[in-house]
Amino acid sequence: MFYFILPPKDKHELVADMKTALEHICRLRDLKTSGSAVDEIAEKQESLQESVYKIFIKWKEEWRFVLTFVPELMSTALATLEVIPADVPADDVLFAMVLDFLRNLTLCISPKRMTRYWPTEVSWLSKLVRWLELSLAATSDGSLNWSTLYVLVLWLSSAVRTPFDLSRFDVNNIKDEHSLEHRIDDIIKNTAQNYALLPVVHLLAGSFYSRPDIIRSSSRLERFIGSLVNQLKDATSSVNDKVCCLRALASLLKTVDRSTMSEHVDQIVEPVMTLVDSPHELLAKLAIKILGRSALTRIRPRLLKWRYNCGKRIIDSTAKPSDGLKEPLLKEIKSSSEDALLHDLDEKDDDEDFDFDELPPYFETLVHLLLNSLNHQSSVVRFSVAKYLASICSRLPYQFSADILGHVVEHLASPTMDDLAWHGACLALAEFVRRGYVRIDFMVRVVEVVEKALFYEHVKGK
Amino acid sequence: MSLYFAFYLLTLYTLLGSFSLGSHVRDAAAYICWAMARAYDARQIGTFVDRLAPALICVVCFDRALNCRRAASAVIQELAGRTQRFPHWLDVIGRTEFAELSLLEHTFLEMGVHFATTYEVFRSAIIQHLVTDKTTHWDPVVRRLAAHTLGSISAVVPFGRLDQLNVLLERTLSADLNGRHGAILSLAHIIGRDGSLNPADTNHYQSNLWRTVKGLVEELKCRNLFAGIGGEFMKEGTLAVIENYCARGWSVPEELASSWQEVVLSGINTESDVVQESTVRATVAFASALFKSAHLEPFLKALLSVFRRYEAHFAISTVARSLGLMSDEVLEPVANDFVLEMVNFLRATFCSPLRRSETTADVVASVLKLMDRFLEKIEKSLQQEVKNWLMRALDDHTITKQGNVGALVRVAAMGALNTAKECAFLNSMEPEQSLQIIRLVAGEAVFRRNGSYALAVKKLAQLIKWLNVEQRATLLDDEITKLIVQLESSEAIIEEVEQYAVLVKLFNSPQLAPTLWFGLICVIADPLLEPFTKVFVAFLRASPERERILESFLVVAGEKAKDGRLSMPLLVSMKALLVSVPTKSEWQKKVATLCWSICEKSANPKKYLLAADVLCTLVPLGSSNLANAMRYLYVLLGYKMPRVRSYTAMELFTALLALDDDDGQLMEAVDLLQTTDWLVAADAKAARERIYAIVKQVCQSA
Repeated sequence: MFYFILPPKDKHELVADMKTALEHICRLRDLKTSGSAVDEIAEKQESLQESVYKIFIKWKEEWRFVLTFVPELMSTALATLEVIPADVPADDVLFAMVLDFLRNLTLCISPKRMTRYWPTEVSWLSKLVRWLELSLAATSDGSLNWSTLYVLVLWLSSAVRTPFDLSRFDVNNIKDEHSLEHRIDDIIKNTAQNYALLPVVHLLAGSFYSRPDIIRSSSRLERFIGSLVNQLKDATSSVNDKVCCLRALASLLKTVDRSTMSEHVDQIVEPVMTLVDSPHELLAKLAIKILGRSALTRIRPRLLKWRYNCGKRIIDSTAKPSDGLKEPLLKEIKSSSEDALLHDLDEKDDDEDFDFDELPPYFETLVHLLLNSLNHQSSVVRFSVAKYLASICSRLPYQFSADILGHVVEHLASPTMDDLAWHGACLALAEFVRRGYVRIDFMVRVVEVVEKALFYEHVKGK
Repeated sequence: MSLYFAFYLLTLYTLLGSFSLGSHVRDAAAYICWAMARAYDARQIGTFVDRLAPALICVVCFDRALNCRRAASAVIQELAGRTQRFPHWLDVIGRTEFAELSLLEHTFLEMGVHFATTYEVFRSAIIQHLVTDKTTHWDPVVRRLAAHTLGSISAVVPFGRLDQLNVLLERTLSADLNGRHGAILSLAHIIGRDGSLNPADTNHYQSNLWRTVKGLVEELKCRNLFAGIGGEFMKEGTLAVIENYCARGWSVPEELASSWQEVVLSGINTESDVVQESTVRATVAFASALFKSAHLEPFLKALLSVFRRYEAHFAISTVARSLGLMSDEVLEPVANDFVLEMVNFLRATFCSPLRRSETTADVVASVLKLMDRFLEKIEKSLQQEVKNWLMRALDDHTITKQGNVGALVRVAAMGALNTAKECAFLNSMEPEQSLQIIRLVAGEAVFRRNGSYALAVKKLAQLIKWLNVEQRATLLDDEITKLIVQLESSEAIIEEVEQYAVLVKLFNSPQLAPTLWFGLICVIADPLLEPFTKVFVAFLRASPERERILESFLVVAGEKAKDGRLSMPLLVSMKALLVSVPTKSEWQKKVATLCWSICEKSANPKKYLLAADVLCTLVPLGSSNLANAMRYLYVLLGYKMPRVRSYTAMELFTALLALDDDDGQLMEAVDLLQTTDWLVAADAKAARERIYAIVKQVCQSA
């Protein structure tokens, strides 16, 4: 824990930096609320934005310490935005500067962690959509004011999670092209292929299409998935376009209800399988992610009877094993250990529970693909493969899971396996062990692998 | 031809790679263990913990990658904390914590040796791992550390009857270069430390060992393994064997003396730093082992011939360092010869622009050590010459493309100077010589260079202590003596600036002051050492001896006016002293003259700029300075370099503005300085004539 304690010198520096950032945003707020001329600040716009960027980029490594300052910085920024009308002109300097400030803050502590700080009151929703539409209209390619778009899209992804039906925001509940639902759909379509907005657009797509009212009342999700799949199949589309599509699909597979997505999964898997061997690291990683999530969508979650259960942990009992345990505690430990052994013997029941029709026809190919990708060139892809192999096994009967585990271990027996294969296999085994999917009787083989891997060395070069 | 290729293939030794992949695999393996500790019941994985514990200890102590050592440490903590079946976990956790793992030397030689020697349960795994994996490792640093660790373990756990000894013996001639190097080094360290080994022992293991050791050099030579890419490794290993064998006090077998001598001499002629280090140690041990044998004289003659034949400088360096460490009884008969040869070497190379300063430093240090130990054996004339060389070495300020290499020689000379009360060499010196040594060392201390400062202060304190009471009284007063002597222990004064404040008090001694100025002007000229300049200025302002000290500055400036190293610092110091210390007009007049003598006829424009600085600083200090300075400024205002003209005009403009000019006579000169284009030579010359006339008129009316 002591690694996270900031030395006093750095602490003073952090406080000073955050004070500077706060002064900057307070100055913007005061200018806006007082309605004074902004000529002076407009001249220095670029240098001011640059200085704020430097402050937040400097603390990106130590983002935990910035968290304490976020509420104050956010509330000041929002106070400025509150007085900005919905029909803000495209060249409003203060508006652009405030949103650039929020983007720098987001870059510092990552878009995902910022999700909880955005206000989600319904009053913001229509204003946000209007701002987004104006920003998109101001620039056709979205490259000029992408930092404004970046922040607005991220904010909208939080705001759109409102529990109220979106039609209630429309006048007379009419579902035409002026309805909020339609306008947000348009925004997503217009920004989905924008690579500059890659880190945020998928969050918006995930939040919007997973809304029950969208799923229930329209075929928007189906059409969106269809357009993404077509884009993937299109041989002329660029790598960046494909990455954007895959990111959005991965988000949909995570956020949209399993029963809804299972209808669309099969059409997604086919084009994605061909992308796993791509030399582009991010593309391959996203392809693996989608394949893994697709398999998880097709197979329903279940309680694993064969999973190892280590029972309850009692500190007292482990702290003094030789001092003689109290009788009830001893019984508890004994029974939990015995349970673990008993669960090991439940294979037959386990198979009977499982519906083999759940498995898609391409399941075997998919698992083979994942197993082969364990020795992928890129380590992030190997990490991803290991994670999804273990996740898939959590929904399979014991025999299937044991086959996959056995394959991973036997894979290493081959003398031609290089360091990549060893690394991938070790990661997969670690994931299996961490989740308790390795039975005690199989642990001997895992330990044999560990004994070799602990001293693994592959000498190269001359 | 086919026979030639067959022979070539049979003698082809494999050199495995120079880097490896796999640290990420080892890290992931540690992740598996960590996950197991967290997810499984302690009672069920207990057997696995027992099985994995020695392996994890090996990783935490001997893995080359820091992240793997840390990962293994985290696993040990998890396993020990959750299962409490980790052997000796109370001790292990404390010794393998995060902060202990950063240095490979510490994990090998402290942690590894401790676990192997203290706990039976880890011992065999550690020894096995070191012998099979680490002594064959691709990184020579790891092989050396592994060999050293095995040696340290063998001091407690005798290897005399272990199978691993045979493994190492078999590998001494293997095809794999890394394995061969590691095995020979390991054997060397085991021979050096294992108390159970004895060449007279005839049991199976030991007879094997001694047979291998005795045949090692011949075998390697037959296979031509002292040449080529692995030759340096083989020399290093063999030299380590010789060193450790001889250091045990065993006599060198008759049949091996000549071949071992050959190896030592070939090590002397090898440029690699590692081999040179090994050679120095092996030479010392080998010479001691040959004492009272007929082979000693030829060996010493061979070492002497290294000087006589003017072999490569690094070879001379190696021999010189060895001589400094050899025992008295070995060197005594030949001390005079060695000193003579080394003085000859200094004579030939000291002033050469091609000299290797490290070698010069080693030779100077070695000569001084020999003089101290064998003064009576050295001829009188030679003694005198060495004393002169000592002075020259202490005053060596050679600067080459490699930088300030003279510092190496100065530091070596100071380091080798024995200042004990009973030291023969220093006691044999004339009073004037010893005073000169004190002057030079004091000058070095005031010079305040990072590499030599601490040593110079310490030696100065020791030298002052060494002086007898009368000598000391003539040199310094009691209070300063006491303060200087305290500097050796550094207990009374901690801050460097405070320490320097004591050092500058040496300026009160008229005998020391002139030499101290050489160092001090360099400190003043160095903007990074400004705090020390301030200390001196504060001292000088408060000193009652200020005028005498400033006079000594003028003497030094006159002596070193044309010195390439000191002339520019002198100009900077002149300005600094004029600005910060009250001075008399007579002194200022002399400074103007000296300032001009420094830059006169120089091709370096920086000197003229600095001179303009000094002269223009003089102008506002006193009315009499204007006429005097103007004589030289007149030349600078019309100098052939435009930059010098314009800079001088700018400085003079500022200086004239600072003068009291009630009558406004100088206003025209000030205007001219401001309005003239000094970059145009014709305009500049016309303007300077007018300015000179105005200033002359003003001075006459005054």
